[in-house]
Amino acid sequence: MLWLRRLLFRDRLHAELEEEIQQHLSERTEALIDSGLTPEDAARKARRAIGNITLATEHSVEVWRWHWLDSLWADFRLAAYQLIKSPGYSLTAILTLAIGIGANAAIFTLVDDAMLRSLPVQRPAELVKIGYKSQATPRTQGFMSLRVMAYLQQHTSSVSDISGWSESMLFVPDDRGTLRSIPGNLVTGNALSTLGLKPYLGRLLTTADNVPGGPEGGWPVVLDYGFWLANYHGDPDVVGKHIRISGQSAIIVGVLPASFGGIFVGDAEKVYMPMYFFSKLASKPSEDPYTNLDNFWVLTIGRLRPGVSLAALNTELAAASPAVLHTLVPPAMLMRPDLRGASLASESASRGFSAIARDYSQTLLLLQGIVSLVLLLCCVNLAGLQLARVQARQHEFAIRAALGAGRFRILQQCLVESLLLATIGSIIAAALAWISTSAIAAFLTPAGSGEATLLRPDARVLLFTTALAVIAALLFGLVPAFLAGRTAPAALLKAKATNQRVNKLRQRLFLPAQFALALVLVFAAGLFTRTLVRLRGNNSGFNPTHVTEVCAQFQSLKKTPTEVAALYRAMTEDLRTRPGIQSASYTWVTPLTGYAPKVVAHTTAHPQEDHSITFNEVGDGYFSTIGTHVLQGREFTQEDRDRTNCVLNQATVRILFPNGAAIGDTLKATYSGDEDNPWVATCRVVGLVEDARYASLREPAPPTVYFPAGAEALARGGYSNNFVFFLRSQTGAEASTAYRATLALFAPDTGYSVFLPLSEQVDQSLGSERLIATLSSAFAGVALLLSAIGLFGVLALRVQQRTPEFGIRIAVGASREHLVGLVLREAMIMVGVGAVIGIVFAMFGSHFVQHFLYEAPPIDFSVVGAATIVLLVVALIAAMLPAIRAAWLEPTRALRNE
Amino acid sequence: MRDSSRRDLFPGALELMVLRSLELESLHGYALAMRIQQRSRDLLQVEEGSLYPALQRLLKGGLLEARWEISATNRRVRTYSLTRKGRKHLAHETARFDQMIEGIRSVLSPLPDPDPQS
Repeated sequence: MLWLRRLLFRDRLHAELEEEIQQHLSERTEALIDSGLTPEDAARKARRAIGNITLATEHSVEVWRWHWLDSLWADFRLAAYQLIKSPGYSLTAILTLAIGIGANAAIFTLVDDAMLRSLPVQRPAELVKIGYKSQATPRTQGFMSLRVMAYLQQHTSSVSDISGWSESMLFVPDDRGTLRSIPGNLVTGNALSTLGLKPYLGRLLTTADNVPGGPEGGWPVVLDYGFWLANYHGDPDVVGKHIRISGQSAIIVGVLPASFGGIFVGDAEKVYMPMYFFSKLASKPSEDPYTNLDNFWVLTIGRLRPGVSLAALNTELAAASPAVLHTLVPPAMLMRPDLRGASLASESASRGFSAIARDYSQTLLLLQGIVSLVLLLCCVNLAGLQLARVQARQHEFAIRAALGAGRFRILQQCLVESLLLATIGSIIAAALAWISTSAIAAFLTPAGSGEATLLRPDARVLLFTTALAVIAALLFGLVPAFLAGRTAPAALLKAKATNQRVNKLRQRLFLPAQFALALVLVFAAGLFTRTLVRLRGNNSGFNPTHVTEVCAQFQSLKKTPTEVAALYRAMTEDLRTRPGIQSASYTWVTPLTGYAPKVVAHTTAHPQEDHSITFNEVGDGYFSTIGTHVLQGREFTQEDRDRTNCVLNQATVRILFPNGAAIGDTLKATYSGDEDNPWVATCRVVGLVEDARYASLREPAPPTVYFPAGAEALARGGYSNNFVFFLRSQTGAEASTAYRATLALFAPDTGYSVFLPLSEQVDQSLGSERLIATLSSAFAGVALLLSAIGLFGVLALRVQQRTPEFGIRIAVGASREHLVGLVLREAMIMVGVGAVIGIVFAMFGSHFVQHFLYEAPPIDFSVVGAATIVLLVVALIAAMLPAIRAAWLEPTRALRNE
Repeated sequence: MRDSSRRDLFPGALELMVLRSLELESLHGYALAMRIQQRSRDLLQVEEGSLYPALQRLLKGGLLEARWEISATNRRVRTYSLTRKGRKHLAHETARFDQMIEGIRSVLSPLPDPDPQS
């Protein structure tokens, strides 16, 4: 209770000093009387000599002050009292700040997570990925072959602890016993320990774990915290338990800490297993990395040795490149487009590998910009409010100044009040950010991945909000505080003169600034919403509602492509008989994932004219399942099993058959995208379907040729040995129940990956646009509301101040319309000035957001116009109430007040 | 604003004068002010308002001690006296002050004529 003692001590000190100085004063007075002055003159002279007693006492006490903490404490109590005294103001201010700061904190959480935060491992700054770089791949590709990795492990002096990482889908039983797929990290034995992780339970993987066939006693598996929580409900005795993974018995040896989400940031549940487990998963030798040592598929992560810079490592790698690549990589591979002219290179891996960072950095920065504007607007709004309060409290300040309070002291008092508001606001803001972050992140992360729920504000975010609170407090507290300190006390005390400067400042600076900012935000919201509407309005060429997609995982079946193709057909037949299933089919490329493989094709009539055409392979009944209309001919049936028949979309017909009917004609397609498996197909066109946008909703539907999905596609292996089932049903539950039943019947040893509504995948492809449009509209709404409140406040005060004037005007016969016009005109001037400034800024700013827009003119005048109209309407509504109050004044009452 | 009244004095001069005045006997505030004014032959006008902050500073620094007494005029007054630390400080600071004054004086003294012939 040190502060208590100090306070008590201060009171005693105060009393004693006052007594002492009083004593001094009376002695001097007596001395002066003795020298012949009258008692009155003596008293006056003595007082003049000693100066302001209160001030002298105050200064004497100040000597004892422990810095300015005492005065700060006093100011704090006063500020708290002031805020409690005017709850309306306090609540408005706190909510305004909470929104402004909260929005910033939420977006910053995403920015931080995606772009700033390091992996929660030991010395993350030392982590590098080592790979290659070439003309075609300006960013370092981290994937190397096991052969190159082994060489680097032995010969690179700048890096230690080189480990290999890769991902593979694994199957574990779900709660109903059906297998489901989960992401597995298959890693070298040193991978987890060299990150410096401490296991939450059990142990990490070791080098002894990564041996061919697995260590004696079974494959070890380390769970990540999310998997442990979701599947074992936090059971502390999980270590030593058995789990079936992809048909193999594995034993749980450890659980990772909650803070570590993996170096592939994203999936909510994953497991870690030794890399040799790949040999168990491979259905043929070419898929086993330990048999096929030349494939580039392992992400190579190392740790810079102490004192070695990334540049030094790159120099070493560049020097070693030619020898390494030419001795360890087959010459044929070096001819691959991405490897042509490649050299070894490295890049920092301190932040891990996040899909959000890759895809949404720009979106997030844009949003951070928008929310910064919102915060600025909040501050301007609050500064206006504070000004009004300063004005109301001028007499208090004047009296305090007259009593000897220094300007700094009054400034401090005002700032303490702003800081108190900002602190409370930022606490609520942190809570808002906590709640809203995962909702916002859900726009950006793949549906069903659960990544969004991992995002939470952390200590850095809290630090950020605190910094914002201080900045905001300074922004909105400083100007009014300065003005408060500057008012001449004498002038103020003399009359009840209002501080005209404060008034003018509010009308000429703060309100226009507010409306300018609001207009910029409304304009931006308009642009983004328009983009979203345009994109959504694009006819996608399919109907995603009520379609559920589920990816089959048949690669582990060890069957021939013909057998797997037959399995797909049989399962589809079976699915169609299940309750609730309207139609079912399967496809190779799913819509809007951005993936669009191409063939080169020409017609038999024009063999010289080659065209690059997107292609896809689809099952029978595919077009009716996804809702793409067949315009001519037919779609594929069970009989179509190879590439002798094909279906074209309208765009293909336009370029290949400009003169007429395509049905029955033939074309020749050459695929060379996969050097190991090039193929040529000559097919007869059996159907024509409407254009469908597969790669993205932004691009027009590309010319597309569809082939029947069959053994040929499956035989290629690698990327295409799985098709994706599409089920059309009323509910997703019907689809998943049906699929589980069919799977149990036909392929009980394989799993499903997540059931995903196709409409979610469509939404997902517009994640950025939806997020920007939704948030910018919400913030524009907030901006309008705040500006309207600000305008209303100023006008209400003005009307109150001009009551006598209006009274006289009414008395001499001014009409009510005239008075309404008077108030509205004043409002419209303020708003108009703001709008003009806002339009200038909006025009200037729209240049920066151009590449977020779709089919938008350089300057979208219609949106500018709409934004201005919205602004004026809102302002008019806010101004109407004070205007009506002015017009319906009782003239006699108004004048009596004078 | 707080110390503007002492702008006429060297910083620390008021404290030094207080210490010197208390060297021989304990005094209370008014007597101290009178003593300084008299000893400066009215050359220095000590603003009394700044005397008390100075006294508190010296108290805080442990150079002075204060106790409440009944004065000769039968009033309850607080008298100040030097502590051992205060005496040491006075001796040290007086020497330093003399040095400073001497230095300032030699700078201010008229310069010898560089070339008497011309």
